[in-house]
Amino acid sequence: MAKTQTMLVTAVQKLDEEKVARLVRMSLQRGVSPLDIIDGVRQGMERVGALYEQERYYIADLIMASLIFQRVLAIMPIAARCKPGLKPQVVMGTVAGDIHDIGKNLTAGLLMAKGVGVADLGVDVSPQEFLNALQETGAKVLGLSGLLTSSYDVMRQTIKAVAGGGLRDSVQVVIGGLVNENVLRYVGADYCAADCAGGIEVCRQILNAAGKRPYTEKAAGVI
Amino acid sequence: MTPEERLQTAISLGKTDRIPCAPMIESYAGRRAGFTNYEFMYDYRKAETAFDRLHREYPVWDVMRSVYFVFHGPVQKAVGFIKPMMPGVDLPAESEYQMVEYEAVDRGDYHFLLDAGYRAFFRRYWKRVHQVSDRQIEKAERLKLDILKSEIKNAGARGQAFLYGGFIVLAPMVLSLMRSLQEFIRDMYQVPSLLERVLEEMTAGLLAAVIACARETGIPRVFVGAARLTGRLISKSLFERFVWPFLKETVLQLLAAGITPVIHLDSDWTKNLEYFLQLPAGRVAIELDGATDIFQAHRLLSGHACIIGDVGAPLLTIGTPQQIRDYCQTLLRELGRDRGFILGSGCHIPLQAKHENVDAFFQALQ
Repeated sequence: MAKTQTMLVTAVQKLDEEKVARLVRMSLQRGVSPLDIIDGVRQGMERVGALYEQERYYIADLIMASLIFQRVLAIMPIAARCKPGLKPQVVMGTVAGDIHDIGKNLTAGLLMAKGVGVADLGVDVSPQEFLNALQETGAKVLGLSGLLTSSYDVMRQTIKAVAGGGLRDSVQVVIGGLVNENVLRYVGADYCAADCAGGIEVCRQILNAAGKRPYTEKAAGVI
Repeated sequence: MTPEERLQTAISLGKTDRIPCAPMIESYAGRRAGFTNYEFMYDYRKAETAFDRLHREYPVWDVMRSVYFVFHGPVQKAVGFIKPMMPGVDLPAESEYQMVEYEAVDRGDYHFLLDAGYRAFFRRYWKRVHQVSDRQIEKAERLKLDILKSEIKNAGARGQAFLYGGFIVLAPMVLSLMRSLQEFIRDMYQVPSLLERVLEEMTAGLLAAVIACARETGIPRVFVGAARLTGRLISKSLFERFVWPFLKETVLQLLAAGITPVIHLDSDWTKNLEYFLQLPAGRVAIELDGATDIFQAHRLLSGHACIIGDVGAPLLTIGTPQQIRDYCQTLLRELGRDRGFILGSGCHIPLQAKHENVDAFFQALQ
């Protein structure tokens, strides 16, 4: 069993989707616990992440790893697909009026593959829906995505709604899409992510840090 | 110099009497003229009225850099590369149009393209995605060409040069839109040889169509769109296998046909700029959208390729006129002092751009 698990970790690291799928099916047939299998896949994902940090892998490799993770989940029995007690730590969505979702989907998928609970609200999400989700989940990170310049005002309204709901001091807001530092300041967010890898990195930093770190250009900004 | 002489001289890295002015203006012109975006996108006459009015305000705008003929509502709804959501039809009338990206093509379609050819593949794709008939496809293709010819004629009547006599998006980018980015990435890893053959076939088909279009319109320059699949996303080995050969082939084939490629680079190409040194000097123009470091591009490509850009959409939307003036002055000082620079927007001026910012853009050249 240990050998199969090692092979699984390596296959994920090498981004060999078909081999991963074969090994997962074989492990299930042999009675290996689905959670143990998922943990093996996550170990492989960690290695992929480490290779990305070493600049030996690229964002496309992260995306491929995320696709493999989704494939593994699809093979699993339904009960094993949702890890019990995995509470959403990040609320994410494309803001109202905008339906672009590629970057947002990739970021959500990669975060989930890393074991981070994500409440993905989809596209065209109103400020009130974001606020409701934050209140329901208690998540400390809000990810707002938008690829249209009209999204800037909606991001701003959403952050104001979060403040109106009394959550601004306890929630870090990350924006992604067609954004930069000027947009960050305009909408009043804490961080902006230049791509999905940047989004994952900033979420990791926030979730690992104790308490809220206010935005400063040096400490945060564009990742 | 006439605008056409100025444009040609800038592209061939000669000395111009002044820096050409080539913002990419589409829906913004309609909003400025008081039209809804639905009216602008669906009524070509209103679009031309909008262009006329803006040009009357700013005659310094000497290069019409328009892709309206591709994105005109009825054209996009029938022969667009990807399923659109249009203002006044799928979205409120004042909205920007948006693209719906999903897995509209599967690996079985790759084999169909290789067996049946580029034209048959696209017809089948358009019918499936846009729910149109052969007759509607033919009508939309005629309309697209008619609008392009009218745009060229009207720009000439205004005294402008017209930049694009045709429009092509590189095969890897087209396919990544049709297949979805995630599935395209999966294909690069899992079916690389099949993907290469498909890209070769598609490149040949796209090239034949755009060369015919440029000959029909008489404008010996075409838009060559490239986006996403850059060094920010993919490794050098993937770039060198699935992107660069098709970009280079497209450029060289166009040049061989006597057509100047105007390469429109969306997203961040900073890591890949050196590849463009492989293209013939003084024969291509490169448009940047604000994501690529234009100053790095200038350092690397000055004396090799004309650069067009790059006042970006965020700055035009939330910046101030002073910021626009400062940025334009920096561009004019840093890039404009050498030959081969055209002042432009980075991609199109957004619908929501502040009027005073657009004014500041034009005033930078006055």
